[in-house]
Amino acid sequence: MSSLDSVFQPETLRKIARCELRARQVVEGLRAGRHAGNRYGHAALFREHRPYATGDDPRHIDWKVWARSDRLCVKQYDTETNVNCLLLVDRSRSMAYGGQGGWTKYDCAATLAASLAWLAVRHQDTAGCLFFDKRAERIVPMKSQTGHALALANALDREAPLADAADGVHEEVNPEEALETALLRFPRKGLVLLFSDCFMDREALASSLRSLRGHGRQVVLFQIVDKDELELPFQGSFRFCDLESSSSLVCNSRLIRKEYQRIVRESLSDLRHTCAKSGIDYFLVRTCDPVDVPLCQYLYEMPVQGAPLP
Amino acid sequence: MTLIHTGLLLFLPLVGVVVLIHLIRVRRRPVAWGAWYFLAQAARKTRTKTRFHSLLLLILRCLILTAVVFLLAGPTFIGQKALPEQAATDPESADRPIEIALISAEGMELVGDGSGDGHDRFVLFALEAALAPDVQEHLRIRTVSASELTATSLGGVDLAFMVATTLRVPEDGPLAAFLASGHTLCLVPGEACSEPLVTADPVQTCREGDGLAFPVFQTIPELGAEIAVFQWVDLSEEEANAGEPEGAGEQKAGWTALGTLAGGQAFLDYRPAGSGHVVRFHTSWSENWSNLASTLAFPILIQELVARFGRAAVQEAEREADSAPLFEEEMSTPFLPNPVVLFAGVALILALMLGETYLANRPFAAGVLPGRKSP
Repeated sequence: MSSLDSVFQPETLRKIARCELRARQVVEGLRAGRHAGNRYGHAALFREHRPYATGDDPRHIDWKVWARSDRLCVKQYDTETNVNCLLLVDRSRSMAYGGQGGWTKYDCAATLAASLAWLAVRHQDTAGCLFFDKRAERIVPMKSQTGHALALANALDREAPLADAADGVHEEVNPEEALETALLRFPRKGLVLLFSDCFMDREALASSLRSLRGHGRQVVLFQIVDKDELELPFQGSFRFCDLESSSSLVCNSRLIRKEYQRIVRESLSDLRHTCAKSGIDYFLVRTCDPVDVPLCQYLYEMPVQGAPLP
Repeated sequence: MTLIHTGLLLFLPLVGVVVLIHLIRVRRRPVAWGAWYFLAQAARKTRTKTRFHSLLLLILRCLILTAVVFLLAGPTFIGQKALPEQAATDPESADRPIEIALISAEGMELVGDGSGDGHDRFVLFALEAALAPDVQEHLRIRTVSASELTATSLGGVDLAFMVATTLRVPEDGPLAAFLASGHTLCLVPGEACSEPLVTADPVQTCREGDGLAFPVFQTIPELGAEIAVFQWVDLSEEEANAGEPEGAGEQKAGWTALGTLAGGQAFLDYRPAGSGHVVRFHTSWSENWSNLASTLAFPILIQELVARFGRAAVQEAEREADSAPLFEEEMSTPFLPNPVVLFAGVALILALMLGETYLANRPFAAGVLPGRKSP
């Protein structure tokens, strides 16, 4: 592992308490690292050539084409506009699960969200954030000032869920309500980045995502899970306590492991199909993996060698 | 199977503690879990399997404790030589009282209807008195008249005492069948019996008229008791009777002494007959009278005989000890566990513990538990 790779490792990021610093480290790592490449810095992307017409600005004439073909052509570019980037972060108590390393799902989600917000603000895009638990709870408005990335990161720090604060009342996360609030409070078009473990009612989540996508937004779902939750690797009998209620269950993990893994596989597969059908970009993020893996997958749409999906 | 230390079985209720611990499940470490939705669903679908597994685990844990208690209790098996104390604790024989029949001799209607008299009745009284302390506990006495003796009247009888007119071994009839079935018959000579086991030294006799009864006190060294043996000397026929009694050589053949006097003469002996034994006493009246039945040694002898020959089931084991003198002090045998039983028991316990560990699936490596995360 190179020193650059270690920047993205959960073990390294875990030592950085503030989300803003983590995000800065990730973003700087991306800029300076292997993926910086020839794409970064092209603010306006070339689309095509068009024959020169009278009245065109001669600055746009491509002289190399004239030299090769003796024809005057004008370069055309994609028009660049600002993107409204909304971060939807799940702060339900199930996100406080951290496995043996203590790197919780929320830590991972907050680092990803802050990094993306940082990138957005640097590109003069607006970024806002909405935290949802049982319902939409706290909103950080959309802004594009340079200091807004810091405000977002601080908000992500503050809103970390508490694992031990189960109040005995089991209330399922209601994504529909949270997303309705998002529709009301934020502009109609833009980019919605959803960070959640998606441990909620599958039908409700699917319908919410579809409705979100239906309003002309581009939706990206980062499903964040712990490796333990995928594999249930424990040995022996334990009392499992629900993080979101006072329920507990004594069972031998070896006996239920196969069935558990089957159910998890089915659920992940369902969600992936739902996203594919709804035109939602879906990324499965394992907290044990380096955070640059999902970022690179999303930002550059390039295949990044990471752990295979379960 | 018999157990040497049955008192250890009192620890068996500890199994209840195992059940209690299993049900309370106090040792389960809590794990805060996020993916509750999937876990609850998986637990619901594997409920039957989990319950069966839990039951199996509980049974295994109980078996381990039971096996340990039984191994410590010292199991012995039939075929292994049982000590006398072990035989007494054998449930099959201990539950059933020993049936003892008192058979009166032919022509002597004795205790049953009270018409007997003299020495015969005294001998029967002495027998009943000797057996009396044990009657309530593990003996059952029945009186049978010899004239009414049939094969069925001795059904269920373990040991028979017969006040007999002869010390000869019965060769046919119900008594022969009784012996053939592995039981023991004790011949207690009555008044009419003229076959002495003990003969006093003729030199000790004195002359007075035609004859004289003269007491000779003989010691039973093992019991420290004395019995008086009388020799009736008929002076007119002294010369004719000076030699060995007729048939004495035949009588001695095959008999093993159980009790001897200080002079070496046997006053109590036995020999195998059929599958059982015949035991003879020297208590005859007539010419060779002795006061054995009235001495303190008599109840001891009777009880020793009941202990040794009382049960047909233990006779086989005790035949090996027959050559030993009756009154020899029992050696206290320390408990030495049979190596085969010990090995099998330990192997069984280890196998059960391995199975328990596999089923409980205890974590062999530490550090797999996430635990609750503090904020």
